[in-house]
Amino acid sequence: MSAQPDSARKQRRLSSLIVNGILIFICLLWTIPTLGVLITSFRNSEDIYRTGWWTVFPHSAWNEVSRITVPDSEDVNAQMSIPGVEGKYTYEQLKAGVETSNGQKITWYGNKRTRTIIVEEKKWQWFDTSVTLKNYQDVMTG
Amino acid sequence: MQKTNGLDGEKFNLIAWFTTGIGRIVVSLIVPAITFLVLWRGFIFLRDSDAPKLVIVLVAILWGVGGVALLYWVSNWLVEKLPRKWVVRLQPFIFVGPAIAILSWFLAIPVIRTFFISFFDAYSRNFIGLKNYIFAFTDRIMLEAFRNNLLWMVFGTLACVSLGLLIAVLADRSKFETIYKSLIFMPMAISFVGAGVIWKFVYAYKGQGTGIEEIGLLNAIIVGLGGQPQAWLLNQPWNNFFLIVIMVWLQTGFAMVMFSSAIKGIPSELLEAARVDGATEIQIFWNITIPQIQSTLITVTTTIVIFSLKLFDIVRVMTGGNYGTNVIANEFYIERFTYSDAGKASAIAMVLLIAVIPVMIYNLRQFRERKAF
Repeated sequence: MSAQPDSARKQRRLSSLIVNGILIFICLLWTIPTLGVLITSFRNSEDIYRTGWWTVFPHSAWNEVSRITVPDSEDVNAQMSIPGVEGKYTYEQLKAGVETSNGQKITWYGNKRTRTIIVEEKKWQWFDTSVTLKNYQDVMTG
Repeated sequence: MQKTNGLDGEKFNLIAWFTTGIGRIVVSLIVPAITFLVLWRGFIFLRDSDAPKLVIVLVAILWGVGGVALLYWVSNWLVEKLPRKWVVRLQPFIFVGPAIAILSWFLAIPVIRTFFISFFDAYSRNFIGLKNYIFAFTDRIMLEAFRNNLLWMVFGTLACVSLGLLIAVLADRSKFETIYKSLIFMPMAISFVGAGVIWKFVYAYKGQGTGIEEIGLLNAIIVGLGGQPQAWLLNQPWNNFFLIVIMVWLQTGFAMVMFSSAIKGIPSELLEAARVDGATEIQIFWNITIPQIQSTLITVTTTIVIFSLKLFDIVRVMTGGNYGTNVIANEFYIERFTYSDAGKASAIAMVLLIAVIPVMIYNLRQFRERKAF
């Protein structure tokens, strides 16, 4: 068997690659749900219900940078011009969030009466530092 | 001569006395009596005593294990006192007897009782004939439960067996077999309720609206790809399939381990001969592997079929049987513990038992063929 032709060896390597690829894929599918619970167990309950468990990994997310108060002169039921932002938008558009030309996102906060707009910027977030062992402490000590 | 013999006996020779007829009878009455007394006192002590927990535990262990041993020993000793013919006749029952007694007490009597109760009303007072069975076979809720159990049985079993087989066959060709197999097998160690928690984080749905971030993995993927979040556990009839996925996730490990060991048992000469003859791997799989592991295939399939027929926990935890995901076992639970209807619940239990019996018989027959019994 030592004098194996080159093509056969290549064939074998390819099939081994396919086999391992499929298995790794299935194993990932199988372990990700458990991994989710493992990570969730280190987060506090507020975070758990606000964001997905995968957000502990590095990712870029919208972060609030400032707030704008819409002046009383603007009619909330019509198109509004927002101070510091180009263009005119309706309440519905702002409620859904608008991405401005300078890479910021402006979103209306709450109902029409608040007249508050949150300005967010995309920032790269490294590992979440709010993971703790508190849940385990609570469980172990009752 | 006779007189001297008699005098010897009167000297209270203990061993000689035990061998006389009366002595024997007395001993065979006293020994069981003492045994019974010891066991009874032990029971009373365990029931009423205020002794420290540790003492109680120790006594319980001693009493339990020692008591069983004592009972065996005494009854065996008693039977051996009988004539030879009776010893042969009775001895087997001493050793099988307790097993039969426990089996009938914990299995046969409850089944008969359930069967009996299934003909009575909710409070087991009035005989109402076949009414409960008419409910079990015609009610809309029950029909839905039957349909869902059928879905579980067909799709759940199919997915478990085919995935288990695929993984077993592939892992057999990989260097990292143990790693893959342990990862797939891991969910087997997780309880169904635990699995429910795990999968809640996959299927979670928050609803539509602005500023809502999905915390369910599946919805996050869908949203990430630009789709609309879905209420996975509410949309009929697809929610059944999403629940079935959980069972597949839990049970594939079992199927895989069984298949893997069966595949390892295939003689390698057979495979080599096939390869020398120029068979492709797919041909080998269908014409050698499958026939060789056929009995394992049947055992695993029937086990998972039974499992999916009596499935309860996943449905209970994930949807509580709402949104068209009810199954027979869950309906039984609801009837018994929510509506406290012993009659209907018993009828459902009997239906479930009858549904499982054919599969069980088939399974046992397979075992017998493989000389497992």
